[in-house]
Amino acid sequence: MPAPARSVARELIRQSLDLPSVVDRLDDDDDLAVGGIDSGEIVHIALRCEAVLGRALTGDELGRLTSVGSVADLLGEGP
Amino acid sequence: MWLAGILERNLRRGPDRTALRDVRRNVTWREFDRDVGALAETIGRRASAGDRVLVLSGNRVEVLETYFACAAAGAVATPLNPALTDTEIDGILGPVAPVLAIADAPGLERLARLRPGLPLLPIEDVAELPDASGPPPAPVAMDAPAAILHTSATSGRPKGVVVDQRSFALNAFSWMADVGAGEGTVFLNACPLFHGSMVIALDYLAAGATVCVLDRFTPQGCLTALETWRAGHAFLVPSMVALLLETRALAGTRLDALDLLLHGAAPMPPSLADAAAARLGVRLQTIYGITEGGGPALSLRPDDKPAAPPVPGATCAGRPMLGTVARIAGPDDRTLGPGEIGELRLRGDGVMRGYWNEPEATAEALRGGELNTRDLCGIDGDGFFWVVDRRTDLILRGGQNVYPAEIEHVLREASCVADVAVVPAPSNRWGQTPVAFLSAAGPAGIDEAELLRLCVAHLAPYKRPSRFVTVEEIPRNPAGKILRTRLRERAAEA
Repeated sequence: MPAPARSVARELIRQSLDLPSVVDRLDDDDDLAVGGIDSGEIVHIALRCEAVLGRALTGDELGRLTSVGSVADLLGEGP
Repeated sequence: MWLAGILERNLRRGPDRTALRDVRRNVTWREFDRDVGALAETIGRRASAGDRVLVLSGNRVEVLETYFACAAAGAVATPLNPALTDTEIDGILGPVAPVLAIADAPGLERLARLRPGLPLLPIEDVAELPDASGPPPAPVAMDAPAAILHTSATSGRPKGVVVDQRSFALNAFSWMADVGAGEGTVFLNACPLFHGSMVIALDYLAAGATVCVLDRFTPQGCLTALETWRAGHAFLVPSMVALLLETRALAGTRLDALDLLLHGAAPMPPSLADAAAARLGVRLQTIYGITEGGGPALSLRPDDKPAAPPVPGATCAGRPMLGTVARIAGPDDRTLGPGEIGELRLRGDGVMRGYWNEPEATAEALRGGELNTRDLCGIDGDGFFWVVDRRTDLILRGGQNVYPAEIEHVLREASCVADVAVVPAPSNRWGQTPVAFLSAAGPAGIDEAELLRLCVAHLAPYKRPSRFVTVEEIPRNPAGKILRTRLRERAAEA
């Protein structure tokens, strides 16, 4: 995944967190939940992905939103 | 005895009706009874009456089966939030001293690490346990402890709220009287089953209804469950309702079976209530509950029409449910009338037996059998109770209780921190979030990275502050008490 996609994903995640700097502690492949991101915040990440893609996410896509890299992958796939 | 009676009654009335459902299994009352009998016999080999059985699992139908099986075996079910950190779980394991743990795969891995030697039973195996072969266990007294539900606490470490089957029974009768559940009702349980709101699922089972268990809440998953399982009733916290309205999946979801949306655990903004009623096409019912009160205590029914709030910004919590006696008490314990603000007190069989191994805290909360909720409330001329402010130091984030002391305890461990105070700040997303005010221990100032490291290691994510604010010093009165009101005002302004 190219760096610009990861930075877009990081920014999207930052906007979904109560304390945006939490994502700065995480590497691209780190698990979001293990890294201290609340399950409710992960729901907000999913909603922001829906807004960017302009469509509802499938159950499979929701289950894949576990890291910065996976968010970047999803956004990279496009609508 | 109460839970055993629910099984027996429904086994006779409709053994092939669906009692429980999740994404893995549909469980009839006959299968429910079999699983509970098998699990109770397994528990009984390890646990004597009154022994604690830890439950560490995500939502699934077997968690409810475990409550029934523990009660049948005379053991005390002690569910824990899987989102707690190892430090938090370890702090609970000591006082609770479980003799057995029933857990899902992630829970088993953690417990094996935290408590080597503690007997473990995979919750996934419940349906595969051999049928009970011995005689059924002797009936357990209604006032014997049935569950210990852990809540965040003012002391900085969780307290275990001990409830009995008498409390479950009272709740069920009051729910049936106030909400109208019965056979044929399908209820979607979207809240975590370790939480005090789990009694609502027991209420529906008592009514012979079907309880559908959502593994974890996502707005998309919740909508799919409501549509697929044709749930007529659901209980959600306001932040969940807001998320349902926000997801794009709502547009393509048929919710024609959904009739009654019950909500609680945090105030529902009127604009959100109006939007939910219009867009989901449901009736709304407000439930005020507290874990120490055994669950739901006050209810504002869909057709209730309270007048204007007695105090600007107050939230109507409704009238006492069947079996609950409520009053507003002043500082001298005198019962206050309309127009006066005091602490909400509750009395009835639903109220907890006490805090686990905390006699002083129990005596403070329960006086003469009456629970002091410490919530500031008033009552109007029509008998409606209005919540003016929750317990002064309580933070209600997305329906989950967080006490500042828990967070302050962790942040004080940071080498960069001299003093700390945590207060709630308003949040459009969660209702409230914790904000930490900190004074630095040295000229280098506050190291946010160190604070974050500590929070991630020692606090469940929902307890993490949303902001760290550096101040010269934490304001305190001459007696050394933190002036939280001043900090709350400052947190709200930012």
